[in-house]
Amino acid sequence: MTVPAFSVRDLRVGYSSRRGVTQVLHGVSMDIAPGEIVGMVGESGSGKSTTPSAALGLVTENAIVTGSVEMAGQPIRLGRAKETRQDARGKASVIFQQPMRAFSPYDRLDRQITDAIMAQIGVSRAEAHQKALDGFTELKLPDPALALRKYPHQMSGGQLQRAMIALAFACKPQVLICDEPTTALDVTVQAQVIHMIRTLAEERGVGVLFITHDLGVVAEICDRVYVMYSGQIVEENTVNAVLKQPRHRYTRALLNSTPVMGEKTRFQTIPGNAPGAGEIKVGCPFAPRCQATNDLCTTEFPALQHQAEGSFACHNPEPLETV
Amino acid sequence: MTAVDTSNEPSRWATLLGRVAGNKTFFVGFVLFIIVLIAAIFAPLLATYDPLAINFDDKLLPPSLTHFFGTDELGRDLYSRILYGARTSLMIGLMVTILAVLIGTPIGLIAGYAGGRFGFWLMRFTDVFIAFPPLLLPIAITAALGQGLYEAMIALSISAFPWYARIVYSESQRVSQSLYVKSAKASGFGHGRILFKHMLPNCWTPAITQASMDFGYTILAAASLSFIGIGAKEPDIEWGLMVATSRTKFLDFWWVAMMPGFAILITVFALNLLGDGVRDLLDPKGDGK
Amino acid sequence: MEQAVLEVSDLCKFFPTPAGLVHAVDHVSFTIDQGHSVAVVGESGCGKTTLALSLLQLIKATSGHVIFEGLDTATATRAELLELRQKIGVVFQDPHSSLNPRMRVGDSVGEALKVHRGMKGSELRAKVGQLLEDVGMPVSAAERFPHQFSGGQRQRIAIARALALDPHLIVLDEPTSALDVSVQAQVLNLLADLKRDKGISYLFISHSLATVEYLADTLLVMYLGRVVESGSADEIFANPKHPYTQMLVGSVPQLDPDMRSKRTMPKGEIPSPINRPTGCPFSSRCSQVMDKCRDQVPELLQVEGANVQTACFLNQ
Repeated sequence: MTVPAFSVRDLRVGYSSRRGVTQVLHGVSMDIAPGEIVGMVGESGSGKSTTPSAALGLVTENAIVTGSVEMAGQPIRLGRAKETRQDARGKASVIFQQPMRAFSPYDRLDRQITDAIMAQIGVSRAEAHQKALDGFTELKLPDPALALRKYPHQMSGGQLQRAMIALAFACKPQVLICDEPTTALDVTVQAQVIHMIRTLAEERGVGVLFITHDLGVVAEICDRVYVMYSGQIVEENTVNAVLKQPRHRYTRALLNSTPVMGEKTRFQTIPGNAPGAGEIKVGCPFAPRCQATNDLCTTEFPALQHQAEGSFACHNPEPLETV
Repeated sequence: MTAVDTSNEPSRWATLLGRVAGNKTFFVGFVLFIIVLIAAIFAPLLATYDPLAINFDDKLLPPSLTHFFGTDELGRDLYSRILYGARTSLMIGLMVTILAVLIGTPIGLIAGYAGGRFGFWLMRFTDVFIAFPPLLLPIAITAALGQGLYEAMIALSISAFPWYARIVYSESQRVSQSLYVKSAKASGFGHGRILFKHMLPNCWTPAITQASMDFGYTILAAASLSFIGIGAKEPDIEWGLMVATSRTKFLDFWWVAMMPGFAILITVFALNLLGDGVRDLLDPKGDGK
Repeated sequence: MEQAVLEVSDLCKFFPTPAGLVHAVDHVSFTIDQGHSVAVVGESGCGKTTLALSLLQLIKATSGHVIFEGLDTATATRAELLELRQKIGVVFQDPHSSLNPRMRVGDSVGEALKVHRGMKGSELRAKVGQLLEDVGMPVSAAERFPHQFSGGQRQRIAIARALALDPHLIVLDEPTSALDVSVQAQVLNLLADLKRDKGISYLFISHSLATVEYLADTLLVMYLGRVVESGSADEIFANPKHPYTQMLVGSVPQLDPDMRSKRTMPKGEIPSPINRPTGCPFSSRCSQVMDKCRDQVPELLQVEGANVQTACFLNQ
């Protein structure tokens, strides 16, 4: 088996404050193979963004991170955020939701991007500039040399997100973390951006962790999916299995509430709200909102069961349809 | 964020007091300020001598058990004078700040809400007052109004209000674009209601913070005016004036300038700490860290 | 006879900028019937939000008419406008900034009742409680502040506020874009229930076709200030006629990973509204562009045999 581009074992994150430690991630494990695009879906507060933030050292000082993370076989120290960032440098790139906020408004893109490339992979300014130019050309930014000389506000959100992708790939990462990269974009631009990330990741053999709340986007880009709920992975499987035959009741509920074009029916909703971080509950965290609970659900925590065809953490899973 | 259970929520005042106690800088400022306040309120009870009583036999005595802070060149008891001086200083600080806030806030609020040319010119008008060096404007105004404590207070208010107008303006510009103001306009509410119910409560936090910070500065500025001889004048009891009249004696008799100077220092320090705390407390989402 | 709640004809809103005139809303006309909902969709910069703001009289239109229940807003008196405002509710996109953070929820919801209906005391409290229950919130919410609620709950509160004066029309400006999917579905269902139970008309503005489909009776597709396709929502969703609508529909992600390979990639990006292409605004990105598209502006015309109008030479 090849060495995974990104491997996480039993990652736990808690935030300490005067009121004690609030646990937001309860032991997450995942693997991403080179060239594989893995989705991570969940609602706000599910911990889907915390997982990569902790693995990249992008958490605040009061975060307590335990577990183990490897990027392309290299272990990443997790004890202190600064060490984590050091170890992850040059191995992982990130694309954020708001391209406008990812760039400083006061500097030309050229300078910001070359500086970032130099810091990440330690090349000369001329080389970094060339890489930026190549990236812009590859991502089909109109007139790449001119585009590089622009300030962020002179470009559209879609163009900036492409610049962001160019920068991310120019650093030759093993892992690319995409944190809701298309949520702020229009649908037509979203389709383009998704296509670009997919093509580049496959070409370069980069493992991608694609965080999103939109199952439609997952269907478009991902090979495999992790579904997060309340700081845990509740289901893992190939994209086809998750979207067509989910086993966990939460995944099913999420699918049912997703608006789909061409189906003008009333939405099935998930009653109630997702639990907040640190709310300690007995049993399955989804039980209070679940329509198919049994006695076990409210008393015993369901562990993630690994099976030949995917994993899920549910006492009363959706039955497999026999095709 | 998930909703919290309201059933056992403490009252607003209890939460506020809890936040006061939990905020260390604010607490220190608060305690110091209370001391100054007690000095001002109970000056007649706490004073050991008549602050105006001249006694040439006792002039320039060092601090001792009979005169806690010593006496000045006219033999007046410094401890008693400083207690009474606290009244003057706090009154100046309070009146000037209140007046400046009362003039500046509506100007900034209306300019930001109205926007356009009217808002622009309203702000340019207030900017005129900022164009003077900080103490020059009060000097010019007192020169026109005549010397005295009240004249100095008016002068200081006039030179301070544009800052409040500006602070409130920058907030009100932002708030007037907010969706809740848009929806209030769409609901057909009157300008007055939008200004006072929707805009003002969301604009005044920085002005109040600034005011509590300026409180100290104003006392300092008033003292400076008195020091250069255009503010309080004898027989007013004012700390800046006390420093000024003693400046020729300062090298030989340190207490005559040090004692009122120290009083100014403590008061301004207390008010600055208080100002920082006020900002935290006014934030509805803050937990007063 | 069924009266139209809102009639918009030839509405224009142009913004002068140093770089040139922005045609934010360019000759837009449509009608909303009693109890019906019209959805306006398009990408950012298409003018849909400007359209909403001019309908709400929050910005002044450059030209054209907005006629609300027979009353032309351009010639209405102040008193008439005030009355009109009470019949139009509004729900904005961002539930975090649409409620005054320093007002208790009950005060926000009841404010219009207090100001316009003179309600107070227990009567007001009862009505506010009723409104909160209508949107699925507990009555106790009235005593709390907006920051104590989640995004979805705040949006429910905003809807309760919009319902306070029994409006005939509610303008919904991207009401669910900032919400999680499960919460979005709850809010959309709530809106559908209110429409059914109270016969309220909606003007629903959104960039997401998938979310408007459930609620919209009539669809208006805008591109760079112009309506490029309008008509029966069902027909447009089933068979989009304008190449832009086709592109928009084709870009919506499907829940089926097998559909991936069948997708055609949208071409180019929406041009800046300052440099709108001459002729058809969509000509710079259209895959079926013809010579005349570049110099003639296609009119919005009825498509034969369909309850749909398009502004495209291909359909004429």
